[in-house]
Amino acid sequence: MENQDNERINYDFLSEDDVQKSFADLHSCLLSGKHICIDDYTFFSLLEKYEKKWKFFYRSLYGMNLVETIFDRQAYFYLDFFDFDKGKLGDPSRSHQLTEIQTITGLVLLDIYYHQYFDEKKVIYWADIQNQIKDGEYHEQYKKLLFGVIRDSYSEQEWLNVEKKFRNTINSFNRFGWVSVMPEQGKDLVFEIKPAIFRLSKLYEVELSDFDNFATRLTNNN
Amino acid sequence: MTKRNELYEKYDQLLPAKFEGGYLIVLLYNKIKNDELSEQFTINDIRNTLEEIGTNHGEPIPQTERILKILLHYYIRNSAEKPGKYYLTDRARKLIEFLQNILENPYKNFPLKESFEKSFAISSDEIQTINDLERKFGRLFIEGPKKIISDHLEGLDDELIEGYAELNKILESNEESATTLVNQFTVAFRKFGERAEDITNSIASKDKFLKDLNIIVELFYSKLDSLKHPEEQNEFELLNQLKDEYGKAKEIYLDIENFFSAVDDKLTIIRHRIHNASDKLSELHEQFTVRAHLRLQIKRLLKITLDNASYLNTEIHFKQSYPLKNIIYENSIFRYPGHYDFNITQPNKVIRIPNDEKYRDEEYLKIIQENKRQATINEWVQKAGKIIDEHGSIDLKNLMENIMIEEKDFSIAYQVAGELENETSANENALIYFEKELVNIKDTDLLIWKTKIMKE
Repeated sequence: MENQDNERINYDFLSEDDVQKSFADLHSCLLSGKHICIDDYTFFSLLEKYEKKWKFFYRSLYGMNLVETIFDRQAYFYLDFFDFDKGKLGDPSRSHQLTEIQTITGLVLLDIYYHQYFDEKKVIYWADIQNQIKDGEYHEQYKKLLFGVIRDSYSEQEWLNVEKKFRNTINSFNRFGWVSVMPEQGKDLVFEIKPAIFRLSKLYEVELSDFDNFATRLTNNN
Repeated sequence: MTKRNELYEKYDQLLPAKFEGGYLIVLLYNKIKNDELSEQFTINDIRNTLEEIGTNHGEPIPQTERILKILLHYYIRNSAEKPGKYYLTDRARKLIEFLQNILENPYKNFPLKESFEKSFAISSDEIQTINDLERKFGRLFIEGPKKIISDHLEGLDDELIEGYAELNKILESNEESATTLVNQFTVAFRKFGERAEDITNSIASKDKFLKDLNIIVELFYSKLDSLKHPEEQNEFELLNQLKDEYGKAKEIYLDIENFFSAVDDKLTIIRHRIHNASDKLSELHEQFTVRAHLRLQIKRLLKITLDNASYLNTEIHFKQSYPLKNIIYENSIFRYPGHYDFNITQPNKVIRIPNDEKYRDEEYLKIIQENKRQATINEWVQKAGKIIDEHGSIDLKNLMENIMIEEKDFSIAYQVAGELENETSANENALIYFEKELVNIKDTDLLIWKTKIMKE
């Protein structure tokens, strides 16, 4: 059935005016790991309009899976590897392994997303993050991992270093489309967490589906 | 000092910080209200109350006199009749009541519609004259009812914000039973539903009121309109009076219309909030257990991730068995050359200057001659050296004249003499012998001392 579909789908849509106008930008956005939601209206509507054709395009020419998924009533698109094959982007230089700080920060933002689940926009200020580090549920672990030592207070320079790391991480998430960094208000970092942050939980889908087993495995291996 | 600056300057006295008198006013107010303290209290009562606050909040107990000094500006007074006694000012009471009102907005539990109908309703025949209208809805008289509606809306807004917090909290709780969660949500959401209905009703009654009011304004206009063209003085007076009345009625209408338009804006925001919560809830209803389950799983994942991380050389590291994930990242860079054209040959802008052969030959000749001259000089120096070796000495005048004869170039003779003198000066075995007699070099204007260079 799928093959029959594919036979009918071709690459003609690439010569449509609207596709031609935005192809280069949209294509490089997707390849650079960006998750595209309705806020990127032009790209999003193009993907929606020719969704099947795009899927075919990426599957047959790149061996990649163009995924559309919905979280918290908002749809977003992104490119992913197929489970069985990493496609043309299987080469390590063509994928990015999330770093430790990206993984932890992403999970913290996911947790915050739920804290504010009913709020329309999840707007976060650096001060909110600072409070999490100082007094949040896991403050001891955050302090240990970010400062290397647990104390009641830290010097301005120590905070500056931590803020810098955090800012870099948030900027990378901005490129993934997981958050949207707002124009600087003074020197402070302000950003909105987007539903696409849930991609992170999808990356850990296997581990989450049998969490107890995952936890046991981790404990045993260590 | 402007009033604005005064607010900054006196802020600490106007709104004392909690341990700088703020809590003290609250506790004194409560004690008086509960009859634990009389209206007129002593400095000891103040001291005891401060101690109580300090102990309850684990704070050092401040000096009573210092705190009293702050509060004596606005909130506590010395009793004139009973020296040594103090009392809370009306301002202090009003401040506490104002704060309590924010928390327990008295309108919270009243339907908005009732407030609307009570304040903005026109019964039949109620308004006959412009005075009736002004007394009921004039700018001064309507301030109270307007405030009631504004307070009401604020209360509603607060209530919804609290509602949101409550919904977030329920989702956060570790309750995994879907039925219990749905029940909790339904209870929390009932408030939103009731409010939405109330707002719809209020808007309907507001619209009706504006319509009624407009009819009254129109009545004033029709009175004016039906007046025949004035001729007499009293007719003119009546016309002006009716014009004035219509103007006032119109003004009242516009004032209330403006107010309601602001109310509309606020209600739109509130309705939007309700709508948003309702959407979220319907999504939650559909995948309730999944969502609540995922929420818990993510919390557990965060916890286990933190447990598996450690700090090393300013970086975070995971234990080896912790799985790191990949996402696609192919960074394509597009380079747009500003301008390129490979087909057209560009004219070479360097100008080729042709060889100037005449100049070249002249210069070449100069170099050859100069070389030759140097060689000739050298030869003569050598020759002179030999003569000195063979004959023991050489007369400079003779030498120079010989050179002049052979080379016909005075500069050669001059340079040979110079070099010879230089060499002799540097040579320990030779010396220059001068006689104090000037001799003329033949065919030149040059006079030299009679000089002999000889071996020692």
